[in-house]
Amino acid sequence: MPEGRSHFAVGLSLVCLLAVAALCAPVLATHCPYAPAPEKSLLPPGQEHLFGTDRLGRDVFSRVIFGSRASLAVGGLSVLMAVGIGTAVGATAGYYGGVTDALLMRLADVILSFPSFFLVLLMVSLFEPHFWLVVAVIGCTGWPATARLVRGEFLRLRETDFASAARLSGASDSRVIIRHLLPNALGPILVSATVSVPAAILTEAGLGFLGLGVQPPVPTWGNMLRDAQNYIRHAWWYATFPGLFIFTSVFSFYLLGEAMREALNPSSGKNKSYA
Amino acid sequence: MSEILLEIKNVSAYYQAAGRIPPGKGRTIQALAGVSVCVAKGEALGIIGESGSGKTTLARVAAGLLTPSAGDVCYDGRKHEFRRCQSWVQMVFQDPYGSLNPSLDVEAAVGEGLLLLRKVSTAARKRKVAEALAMVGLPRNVLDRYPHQLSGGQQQRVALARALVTGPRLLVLDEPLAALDALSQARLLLLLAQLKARLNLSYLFVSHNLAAVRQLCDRVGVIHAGRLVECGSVLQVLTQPAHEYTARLLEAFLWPDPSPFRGRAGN
Amino acid sequence: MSFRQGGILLPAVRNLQFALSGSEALAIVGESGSGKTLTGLAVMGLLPHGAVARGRIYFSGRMLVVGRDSDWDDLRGRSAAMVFQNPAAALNPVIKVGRQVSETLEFHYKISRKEADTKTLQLFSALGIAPAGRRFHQYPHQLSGGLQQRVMIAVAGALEPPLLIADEPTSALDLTIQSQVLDLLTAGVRERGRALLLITHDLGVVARTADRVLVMCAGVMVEEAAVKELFERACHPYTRMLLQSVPRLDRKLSSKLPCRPLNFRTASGCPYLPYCRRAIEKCRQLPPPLNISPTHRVCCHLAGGRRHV
Repeated sequence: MPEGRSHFAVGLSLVCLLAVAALCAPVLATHCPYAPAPEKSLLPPGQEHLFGTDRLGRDVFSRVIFGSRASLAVGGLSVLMAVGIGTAVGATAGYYGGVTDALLMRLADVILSFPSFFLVLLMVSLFEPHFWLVVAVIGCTGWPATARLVRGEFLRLRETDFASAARLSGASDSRVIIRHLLPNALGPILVSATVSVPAAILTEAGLGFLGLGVQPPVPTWGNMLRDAQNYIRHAWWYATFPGLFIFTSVFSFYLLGEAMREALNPSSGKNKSYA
Repeated sequence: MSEILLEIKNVSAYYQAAGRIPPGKGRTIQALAGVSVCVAKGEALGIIGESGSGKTTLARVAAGLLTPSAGDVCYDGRKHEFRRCQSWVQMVFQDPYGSLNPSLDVEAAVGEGLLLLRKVSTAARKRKVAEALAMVGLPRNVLDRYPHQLSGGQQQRVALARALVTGPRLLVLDEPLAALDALSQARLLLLLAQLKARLNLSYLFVSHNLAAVRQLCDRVGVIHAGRLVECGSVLQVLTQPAHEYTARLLEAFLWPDPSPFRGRAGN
Repeated sequence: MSFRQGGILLPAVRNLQFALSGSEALAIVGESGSGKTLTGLAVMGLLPHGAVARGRIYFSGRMLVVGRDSDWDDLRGRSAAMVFQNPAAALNPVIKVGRQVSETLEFHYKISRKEADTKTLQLFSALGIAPAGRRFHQYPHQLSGGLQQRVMIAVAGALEPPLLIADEPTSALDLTIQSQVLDLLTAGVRERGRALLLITHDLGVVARTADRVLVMCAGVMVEEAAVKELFERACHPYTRMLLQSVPRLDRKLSSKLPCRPLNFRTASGCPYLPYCRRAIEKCRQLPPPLNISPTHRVCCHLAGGRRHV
């Protein structure tokens, strides 16, 4: 499928580009993202300032680049956490079934039934907003989706003959789960992780926009938008570039996830062979 | 026929009917109703039955994969923990591809039992795996292949090697031929007969293929709707069936020979 | 009615040629990958996407070009129909089985729904789908495998097509059901003068059902004969090995089967060449079919001396 392949290529290269930008921010940034220069406040994009300057005269380009660090780190780490918890819960529930399954899945339902963004808001307003708190809160509310997916996979996998064969070869429950079943569920887990990254990035940006995310002066795309909201009529570049980066990152992760889902889906995949 | 290796006494098993709403309420399906069979050392017992007769359930009970709701399963004359005699009871499944972990190569799949049950060192494991593969007639170069790179017949041989590698005394074979081509079936049957003689193995051979049971087994049990309706020596059961159901099965058998059935000679 | 097929799809099927007439059951036998299913699909004009096929099929004197889809439009259902291996997948799961048959009747014969339903009920009782009245209103998943396959035969036979193609019709069924379904298929041949093209790998099914057998190996025909002749006087070494490999109730399996993994040649020449004990230089080219009796042809250079009458 050339279309799926090109989606994958575009998605992957955009994600890589963003990751490189985040990692090499100190090299790529043309100015210090923190140093205010009141005399250069709100300059339009030009040779000196690629994306213009903000109300304190800081270079928007450099801030966007540095902002990608916080945004991608929050997105990546919180998803890592959510997928980790979700996989553990889902695998346990699916493999053992019965009461264990019922209890764990009801817990997942409870968490799913909370509007998670408001839960995050509540947590952040109760405690001091802080990078790790934001990661932890997004991670702890994001796992039920993965857990359901992994549980479904494990319900199927535990009935396979190779699981029985592994038990006959003397494998303990944990060995069957980790060595025999988990590798065969990795595909769907990877896809679900990839498509949850944009949601996490958006949540982080939303928190930042409300002033509840990672706190200034550390730039994030969300708190840059918050800064820009009063200047949107006079300085279009102030809000446009952080917004464009949010859009691009969300879009590219979705593209990548969809392409991966497409590739893993057996019914849309290879041609069947005929006898 | 001296030493009894496996004795299944009066075993019953139930399943919860799937897909009922609300779940957990009501219907259970009885897969086995008071079945008793035994397998002696070096003996092959065939179990014949149609789909839904409970023959696969019996195989899983015999291999220790399923705990029966009632009745006893005795290994080596004593009713002890299955885990302790696990290394000498092994199973080969119907679907060769489904019984091999798609993410493990042949060496890892076959070596798993040696590592866990026999605690064999890495070097010795490599040697023993190669021996087991040679025993089932597979070339050495399959060691680093993955299941999807092998043909159905080869996959079933890998599954057989995995079962043999720990030196079992009893093999539970659940329809090992059903998914294979005619030629692969014949070759696997010959291999099983040869291994049985060489290693003095016992088989519990579950199948719906009368002819295959005739080839491989000494005794045969016929199972119908969860009950053992007849059990005796292969020749006797297949030539002079005592039970009406066995007779019906034999009548339905499709002889690979046109003469007894067609009046239109020579066409 | 006759079929002629030349050179479809290399390397899946090569230069296959056969004819089939009314009230006759022809079985195509082969291992998986021998091209037997593809042949059946080609006759129905149902070749999978991506298949490149050439050849012609003559149906009641009409020429159909393989690969030209429009040639088959008015043929399927009315003149030729197919029974598949897995009836559960071939029947529509959300339509009552009775309607699946009567809708076809209604549409093709332009009769009222009531008439079509009556006809369907008659058809059901004739095919042993009992009690017909209740089965009519059931959905496929409520029926056993044997009943599903009977319904499948009813769907295929609803329009009384002169040709029925059955692709492994009984491999998914239990032993006792198998022979019933096979008898049903043969009844159509004996009583209605229908032609049956049976595709199978099971020689027991062949012996029970077919009048003539065509043996395929790696996409080529190796032997074709009347069923009795084939079982008694098989000429091609591949056919003989196939016959030897069937486990029987009355004697032990011969241990003379080749022990190397079978990987037949598909490029050119005799597909059995790597395993044949008597192979000669000439076997690198596929021999043309040799008639060794009016009802027996074989593709083997070494069969020449074995002519029988």
